[in-house]
Amino acid sequence: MQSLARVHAALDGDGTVDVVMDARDLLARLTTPRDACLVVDPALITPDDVANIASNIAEFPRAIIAYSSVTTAALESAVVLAQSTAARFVFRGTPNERSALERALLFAPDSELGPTLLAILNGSMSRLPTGLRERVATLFRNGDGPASPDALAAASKLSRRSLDRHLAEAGLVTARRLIDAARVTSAYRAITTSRTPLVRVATMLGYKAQRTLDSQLNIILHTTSGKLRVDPLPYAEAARRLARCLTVREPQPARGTLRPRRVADSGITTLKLVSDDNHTPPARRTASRDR
Amino acid sequence: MINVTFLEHLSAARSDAEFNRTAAGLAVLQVYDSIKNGGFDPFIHQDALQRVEADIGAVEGESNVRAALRTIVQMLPFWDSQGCVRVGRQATYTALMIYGQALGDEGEWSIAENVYALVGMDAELDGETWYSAEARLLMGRASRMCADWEASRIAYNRAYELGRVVGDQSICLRARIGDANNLWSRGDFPGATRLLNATARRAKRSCPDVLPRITLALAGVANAAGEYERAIHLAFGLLDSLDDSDELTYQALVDLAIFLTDYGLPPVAAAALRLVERAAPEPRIRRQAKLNLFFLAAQHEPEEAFTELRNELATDRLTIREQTQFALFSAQGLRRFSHFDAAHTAANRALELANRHELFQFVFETEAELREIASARSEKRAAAMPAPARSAHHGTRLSGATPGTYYRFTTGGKVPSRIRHIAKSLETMAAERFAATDLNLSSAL
Repeated sequence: MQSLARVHAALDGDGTVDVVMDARDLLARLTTPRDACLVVDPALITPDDVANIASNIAEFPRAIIAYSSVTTAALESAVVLAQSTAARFVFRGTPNERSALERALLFAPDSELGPTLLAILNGSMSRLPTGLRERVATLFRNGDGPASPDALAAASKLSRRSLDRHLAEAGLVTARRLIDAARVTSAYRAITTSRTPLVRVATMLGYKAQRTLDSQLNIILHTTSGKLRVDPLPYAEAARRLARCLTVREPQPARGTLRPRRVADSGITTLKLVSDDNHTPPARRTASRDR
Repeated sequence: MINVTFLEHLSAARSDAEFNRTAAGLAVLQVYDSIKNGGFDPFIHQDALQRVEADIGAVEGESNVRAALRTIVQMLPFWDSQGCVRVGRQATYTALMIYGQALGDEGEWSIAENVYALVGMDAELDGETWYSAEARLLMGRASRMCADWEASRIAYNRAYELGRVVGDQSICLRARIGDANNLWSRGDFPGATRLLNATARRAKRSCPDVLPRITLALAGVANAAGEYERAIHLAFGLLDSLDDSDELTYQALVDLAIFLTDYGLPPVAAAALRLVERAAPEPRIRRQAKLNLFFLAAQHEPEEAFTELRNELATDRLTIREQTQFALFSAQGLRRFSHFDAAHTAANRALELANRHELFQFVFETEAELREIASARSEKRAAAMPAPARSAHHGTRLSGATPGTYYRFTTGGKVPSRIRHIAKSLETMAAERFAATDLNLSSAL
């Protein structure tokens, strides 16, 4: 009952809660395609029930959140759930449990975007070592996992340098970009289908402001959160853009082109006029530079 | 690091109960270490876990520590469970943090600090950043309770950084509240207020859920700085904004009671505490409210009310810390009613508990109480004495902040209308909850 109240509070009016009393009822309801997020307490279902739920989810994909206590019964089902579905897990008993639940509900993974992206990236993914491949796949499928390149390296039992090397060999760009893209993927559903203010989505993702989220979205999806909410990209297109940003290194702007040039003599920052160039005498090389 | 702290505790243990509790914790953490480093091997670890279960069985009944240790033992076989998400590890880190909290409830903050440090380090090295951030946040509080200010500051800073990495604003803001609590615990009231105000501005934009905690912390600072009315207003305003189901409601009521007591309105404080005692969902909070009520009875109420509460609490199951408080408050009340021998016995019991469990603040307070008893006995003036001028204890705050030292007597002077309004509102609140209210405050004002 307390868990139910917490889920209700975490939703904060954005959505409705439909209570299912037992596993049989739940299985019956899972046989229809609905855009509903499933919150389960693993302690209330047996591992056999979980296997049945997983096969139904495979047919009618939807987001799953396991809101679990730390007991043997709960863990037995939770392990099967983790092995057979893309569930996100929130364990009871920590001080920020409510915030974790809110984030899990808001950033419940989109059942189509992640798998579509992973299908496009299949070639690169297959070249990654097993541990790293699992972690990266989980990042995009569950919307959950390591939150920084260092954490990704640690979770994959690799050094940071090896991580970068493996990613480069697989044709993927940096680990930083990978994490950012995973973050955007996890927020895609919240941006496009929820009524949560975009400012809140941005801050709950860890960005200082909506503008920061927009600049990330601009790099990764070539759009902004406002535009996405009004006119969501089709999954295939969003996945294609995500895959491109993960595999193609955008040319970096040449050093110095973004900043005004400093005139060496006076130390005054100034812009150079085109007409000036015509009259500027060619710079003389010094002997030391020649050497 | 863990072993040294545990071994120190074992060598200093003064009772079988304490020794068994600490030894069971050490045994569980050794098995955890082995599984963490080499993975779970049923041939090796099943036996070890069974032996540890026997150790846990030796821990005295109904202890939160025992339940928490059992949870860790149940989670360890899942450590290496395969799957997209490493649920076994996440559950084990959660169970370890629950163990730390149980140790904190027993007042064993130095062991709790080390358990949190262990989880923080292991989870970070394991790439489980969110769990690491949580552990650092808890470690910050545990270090503060051990008066290890530097360790507390470092833990809160790390929690803040990791909170930013995982994008959890709640962790970042709570780390800042922890920093502010450190500041005012050491007397820097303006610094704490500035930090809390800045945190409140951030929370309004990014994570309004944390705002009530900031308000409560601000009220704590105001009370400690002697701005009692402001503290009462902040805490009462907060109550207005909270939902009944919010866990912070009862914490705010307990803190409000402390502020009202410090202001000199113990009857109103008692009303707030009675509300908590009857309605709080958590037994821990209900028990704390009852203990604080007992403190007020010992200082201000007639002997019948004091004796009734004393009899009730004597049959309740209390943690070590609560047992110490109960013995100390009993001594204070018994002295006030001139039962010097009984008061002396109760104070000695409090001193023994406080010494045995290293509850140093209570050691000082009990020693002061023993001196008061000796002085009252020799002067034979105890019956006519009002509450002691240097009342050492003012109840316990649930927010974990250091109690203030600015107790004021009920002077009988006129209560400002704003405070009177708050008192009446509390009375209405009590009447709404309990059809037949016995919390008649109007007469008290």
